[in-house]
Amino acid sequence: MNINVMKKYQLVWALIGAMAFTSCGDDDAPDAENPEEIITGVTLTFTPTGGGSDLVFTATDPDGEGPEDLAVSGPIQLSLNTTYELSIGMEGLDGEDIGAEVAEEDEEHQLFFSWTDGLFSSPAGNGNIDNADDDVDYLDVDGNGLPVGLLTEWSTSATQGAGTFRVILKHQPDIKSATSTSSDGETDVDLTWVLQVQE
Amino acid sequence: MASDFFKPATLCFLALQPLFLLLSGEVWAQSNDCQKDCSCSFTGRVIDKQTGDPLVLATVRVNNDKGATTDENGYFDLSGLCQEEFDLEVSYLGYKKLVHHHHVHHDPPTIFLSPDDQMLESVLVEEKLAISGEMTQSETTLERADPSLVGTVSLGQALKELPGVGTLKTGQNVVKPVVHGLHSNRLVIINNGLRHGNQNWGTEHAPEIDPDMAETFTVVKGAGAVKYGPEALGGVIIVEPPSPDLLGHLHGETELTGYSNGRGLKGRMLLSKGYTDFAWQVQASGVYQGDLETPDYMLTNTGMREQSVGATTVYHKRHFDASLSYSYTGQELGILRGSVTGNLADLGVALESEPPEGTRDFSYEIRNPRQETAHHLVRLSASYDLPKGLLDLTYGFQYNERREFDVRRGTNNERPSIDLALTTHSLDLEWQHPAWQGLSGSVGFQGEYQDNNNIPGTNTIPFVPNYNHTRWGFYVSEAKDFAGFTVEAGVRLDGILSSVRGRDNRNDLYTNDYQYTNISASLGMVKELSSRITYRSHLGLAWRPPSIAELYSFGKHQFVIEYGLWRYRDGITTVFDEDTREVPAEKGYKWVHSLDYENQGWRLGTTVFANYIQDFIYSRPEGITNTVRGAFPYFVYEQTNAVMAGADFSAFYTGVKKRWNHRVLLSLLYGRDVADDAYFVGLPPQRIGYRIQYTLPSLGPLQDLKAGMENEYSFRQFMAPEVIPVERFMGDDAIGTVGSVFDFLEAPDGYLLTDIYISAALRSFEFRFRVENVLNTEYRDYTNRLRYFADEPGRNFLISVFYQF
Repeated sequence: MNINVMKKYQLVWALIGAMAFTSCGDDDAPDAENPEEIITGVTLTFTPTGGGSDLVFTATDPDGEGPEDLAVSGPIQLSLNTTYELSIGMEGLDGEDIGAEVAEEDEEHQLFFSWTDGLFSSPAGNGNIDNADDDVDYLDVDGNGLPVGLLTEWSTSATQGAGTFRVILKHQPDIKSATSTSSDGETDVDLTWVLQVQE
Repeated sequence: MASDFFKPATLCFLALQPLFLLLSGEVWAQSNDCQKDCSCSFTGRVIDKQTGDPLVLATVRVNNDKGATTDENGYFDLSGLCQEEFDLEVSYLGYKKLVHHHHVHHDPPTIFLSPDDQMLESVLVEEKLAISGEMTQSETTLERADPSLVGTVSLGQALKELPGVGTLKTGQNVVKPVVHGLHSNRLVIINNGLRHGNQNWGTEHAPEIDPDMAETFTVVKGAGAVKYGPEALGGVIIVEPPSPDLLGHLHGETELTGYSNGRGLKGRMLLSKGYTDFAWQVQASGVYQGDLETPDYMLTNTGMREQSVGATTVYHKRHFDASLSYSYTGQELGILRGSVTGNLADLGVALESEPPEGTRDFSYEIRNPRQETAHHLVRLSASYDLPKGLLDLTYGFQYNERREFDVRRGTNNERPSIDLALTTHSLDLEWQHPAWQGLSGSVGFQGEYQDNNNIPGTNTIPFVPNYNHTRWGFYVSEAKDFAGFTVEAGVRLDGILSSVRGRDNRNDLYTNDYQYTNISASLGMVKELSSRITYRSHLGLAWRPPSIAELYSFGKHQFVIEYGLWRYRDGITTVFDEDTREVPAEKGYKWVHSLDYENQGWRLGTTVFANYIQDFIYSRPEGITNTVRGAFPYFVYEQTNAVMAGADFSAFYTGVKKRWNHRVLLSLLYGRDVADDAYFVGLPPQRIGYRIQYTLPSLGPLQDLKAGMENEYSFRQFMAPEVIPVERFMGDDAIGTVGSVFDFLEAPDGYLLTDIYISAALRSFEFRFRVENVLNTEYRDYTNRLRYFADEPGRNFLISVFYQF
């Protein structure tokens, strides 16, 4: 049973406390909470492995669960025939680093990707959102040897093209396995950018 | 029994002595030679020797053979006598018996009885309590002994056995009652004499009341029962624990129930003893249950734990009664793992997954999502039998703790996402005045102070702010008897002062102080059309100020995002107040008619009602918002005008030999948003139930054998709003704004459930065996929020042993 002896005493204390303090006045405002749940910004950083400056794209939703739509910077513009390392960062309402938290809890998180077929030479195909077995070049693994996706590698195709690039972060506590897919667990991030591969 | 000493009506009943008019008149007799044709007759009169008053219902017997009783003026009439001379024996409770030799040719006798010095040692008067202000209300009561209650673990489930009461569920453990289509803070629940002070703003917040601690469950179907205060737009539910008896020997009962679905064990016990002027009682109960299962798969994470304890003492002196009681109910309830969804795409997947995602093997473990609640109740009451009327004073203290845990990231998983502590102090004062100008009734005052606080450490911005409520109310309720019927009228004035302090989505503090004041009233009549038929009509006007959640909620709650009336309007999110956005209180007008018939084994009850609610507050989808987590539908609170109407029908028939027993229950409900011409989501569908029971007084050593079958058919809800599947909100041709009520799935099909049971007593033991959902029917319930994700539980075997000493 979860309500153990300690808790019973807690309840008694709470009871005594409540009886003593309830009529003390109206100035008991709730403490400011640090809302770690809500992700308000996602940053994609494409670093060319052969050298060159980072390309940074973001999606932000400052009102979190408010009705305002999110703002996406973009489109993502990548060069032909280039290999990039993509690192993904996330931050919360008060600017805390949720990406670090995800890295810490990597055994229950996985990022899934999909894109318009033909934009990348490696990985081939259209990504692993529709089919978890499809290729994505994960550069990171969790404690169980399963991919995470905060760091991935992408080689653009030799021909110009345009399409979309979608990133999904799944929270899969007790669910993540070698066979889990993008439809298991809860979605922490689901964003789609316009992607252009050009000269 | 002795608990009746505490009921004011009994005291009044004892105090009232019937007054009779003194009549004098000619007394006459006939005399015949009647030894052949037994045609002799004569009359007479019986009178109190001391006062000269006629004695009513005195017994007159002739030769221990023929008998008669006196009428209201003391006259009796004996006929069909075959002798002219006999011994007449006259007796009356509290008077000396008298034997008089009489001849029919003599004058009619006037018999004077003198009071007996040896009075009865004690008199026990049993009378059903007629609560003032409620005589004209339609109400139904269910007692613990009802066979349908075997194995019932939630209050909502228990109340479902009453006609007109449905349930609203979030899974199998979170069950709350719905009366005539209304629930949550539109019903007032009176638990152990106190308004249950809990977080009743969310559909997934079930009342923290253990049905195992209760003795009777009553539903009052009228609105605006002035005695219970505002918010009773749908009605009042009264849950009464047993009361210890004075002069009772040490006695108790205990019951242990095991059930297969959920592999649960449930126990309860009661111990009580009474002395001359003091009595006590202690109670305890507990439930330990694991995952439930449908006919096809496990319902992972649907376990529950519940512990309750209670103690009551009563003290009785002449003209004074007092009682003190304490109870605690602690619950831990698991919520189906597969019902947790993220954005719309996740919801779409969850709607289609069968079995639901995360389904695992049976376990007793309760993981997230889950709820932990604790409710403490202290009640101190006293009543004084004043020379003029009766005075009742009750102080109540309730402390309610609610923690709700979601599936969260990392260490947040151990933190509740909702953590609230609600303290309620209440003071009720009632004066039942003596009869005056033919009026009987009461005047009362009620005060309540509530303090609700978010316990820090949830790592999420509180869904509802902190608040303090101060409520006060005055009421007058009067009844007057006219020739053949009783009229009852009540009026009540209430005020509520709220002081609110919360955090907006940027963690900035907001505060607001506001108040609502209103009048509610009720008018009713009851008429006995004949000795078998009673007609009641009750018109109630009730009101309800908006709840904190309706005003201030902001954020994700279950799989939708919700914005309160004072947090969002027309695309603007800020914190409004009564000046920037007026939110009138809900006003309900409910008219209930009921007709009850009782005769020779038949008991029929019909209730017809119409409820019009002005400024009805509800939440409806407004549109889709895109967040980093994907697309979410967002709901806003709005006000409209609603109509709920319907009928409840109940019939009981006990066969001539009382062997066969039948019960039929029928509940019909029609509900509509009349301003927008739309249906609401989640109205209980039409329901019909039939129970047949066979009783055998004894079989060998077994006593009181009962075997029965219950069938209940729930119809498909035809009054469901339009269906917009999840896919319509996603993709290129997505619907951007909705603006009207819709549902993600069709209402489920109708279904028939069959239960069978058998019970028998052996000395002090009673054994009960029950099978629920005998046919292992696969079904979904329209008023269960989890109908989107999973089926309802399948077959369940229950066995219970009850011991009484």
